[in-house]
Amino acid sequence: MAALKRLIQEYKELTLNPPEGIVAGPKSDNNFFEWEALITGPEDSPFDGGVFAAELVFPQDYPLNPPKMKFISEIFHPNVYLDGRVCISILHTPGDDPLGYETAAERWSPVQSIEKILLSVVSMLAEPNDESGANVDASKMWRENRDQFNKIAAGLVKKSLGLT
Amino acid sequence: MAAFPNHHPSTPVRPRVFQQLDGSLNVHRIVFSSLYALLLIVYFPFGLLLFIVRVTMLLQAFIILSIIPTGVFQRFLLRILFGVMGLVVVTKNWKRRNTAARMLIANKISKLDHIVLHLAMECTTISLVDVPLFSSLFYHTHLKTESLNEIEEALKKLPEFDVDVSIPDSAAIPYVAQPESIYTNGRSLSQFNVWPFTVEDIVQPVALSWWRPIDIPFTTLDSSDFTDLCWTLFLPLTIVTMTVLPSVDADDGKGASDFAKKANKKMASLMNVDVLKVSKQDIEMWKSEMKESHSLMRKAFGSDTGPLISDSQFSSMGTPPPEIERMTYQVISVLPHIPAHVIRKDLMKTRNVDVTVTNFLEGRVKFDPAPPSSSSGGRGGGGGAVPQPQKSKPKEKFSLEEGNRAFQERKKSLLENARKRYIAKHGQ
Repeated sequence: MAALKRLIQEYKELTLNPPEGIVAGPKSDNNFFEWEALITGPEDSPFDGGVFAAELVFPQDYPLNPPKMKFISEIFHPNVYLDGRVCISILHTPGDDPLGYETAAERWSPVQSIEKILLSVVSMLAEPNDESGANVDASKMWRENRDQFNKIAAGLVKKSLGLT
Repeated sequence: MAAFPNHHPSTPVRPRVFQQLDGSLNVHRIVFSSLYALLLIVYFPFGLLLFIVRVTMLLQAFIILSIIPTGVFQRFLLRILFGVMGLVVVTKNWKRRNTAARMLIANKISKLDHIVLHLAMECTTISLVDVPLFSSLFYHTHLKTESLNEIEEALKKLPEFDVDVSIPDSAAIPYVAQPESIYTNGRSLSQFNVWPFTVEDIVQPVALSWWRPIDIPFTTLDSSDFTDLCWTLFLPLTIVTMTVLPSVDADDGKGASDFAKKANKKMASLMNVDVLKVSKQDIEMWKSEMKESHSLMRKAFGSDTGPLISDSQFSSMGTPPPEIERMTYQVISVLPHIPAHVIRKDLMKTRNVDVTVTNFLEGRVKFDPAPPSSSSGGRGGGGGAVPQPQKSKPKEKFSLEEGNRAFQERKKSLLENARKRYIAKHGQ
């Protein structure tokens, strides 16, 4: 089964050459289609130093279709829905473009990878895209009241480390 | 660092844009490997008869055009006549038309678009580059610009060339421009030329789409209006639907090129298709690839015995190369970092995508990651057994057997380190 093989291969790659600040792997030994990932908030971003947990659920026809990604840790971000779902172009297939501004090249295709998704999420944490308002309140605050936004983010960073 | 590079230096992965072009443009009407070709052979006598009958009806259409004055009645008669000739034009959402928008923007789906547009509504079509022969025979309401040749030259050099087109205030009927630079098949929208957006501040997109009971493209990249018409007369039925979409306004203070981009995106999203961002070179490269594979398939289709091609890669194996090519792309989609020639070679042995993928993952196939020399056709062989790109930094161990425990530990240590750093930075 191509999906399982590809997932094992990607897991191996991610373990042998992990990108800095990212750990990702299957939640359990007997199901490779549900992953958990820890993502460190990038330096010089509002989420600097936080460690945010997310889950990825892969379709049976992966890599033809992208996984679904959802933050488990609490996060307040313009591109993350209130329930934690992540809204970035790499997680959309070229066919569906709900907002009509993404080029097909930015979106999911089999040559993308879990690593690329996770790195995209890291850059999303550093540079929110306020054009796609998955979280309207966060978008608005990001644009109009950056100090307040940074304050909330700093609180979430502390919370994500279990230090509150 | 990237575990799955888009392009391994030695991997001739098809450019992504090619995949997009596959679905958007057509070079050939008939795909030789498909069942349709057989179906077509069976259909041929019937189609020929239809064609002959319909050619005589074209004459009637000319008569109607010359004796009945232009207007609703003439259009009604012509629509019926063209319907019998196999070109059925359906108009959708006409009532939603914004009468303030005197400039309509249509996508290009065939070289018969001008005829279709005139059958669908009373309008003046604007065509800067070429008014196809048959359309100009039928309709004379084409906007002429003074220096057509100069514009043509300029358009070739500069896609954003501004043309001084203006609609007279007295014009009672809408003008239709087709700003797409290439003929797509309705499943995507190519980038718009800017000139139609210099005329008015509001445009109304109309989407053309087509349907045929037999999946034969309405148009191809190199076809003329004559060949498009012949196929239409030959095939039982072609339904072209013109759907009026909501109008688009120019943003204040922004130029025509922004307006063109906005309209392009809006129209694509309403049609639920992608904007095709490709250059002329991309299309040319894609076209030559298509032609090559088409001729291979043609050979395979024509003779299923004997050597198909002399290429050393395919040597004397009996499987038709197109099949291997398709399987190669499937394997590349799973393992993008392995050179295509290595995959192809293994597929020639296994003829099974799953077995080949397993072979690579378990390191059973050895290959040299260096690029193949173009003359040899790439006989990998020898070299390292490790499929992943080599890294110089010390590696962690990996084995599936160690399983979840190691993963939990890595998570724990990441979190602990982050905590330490946080406390060092902020104090606790």
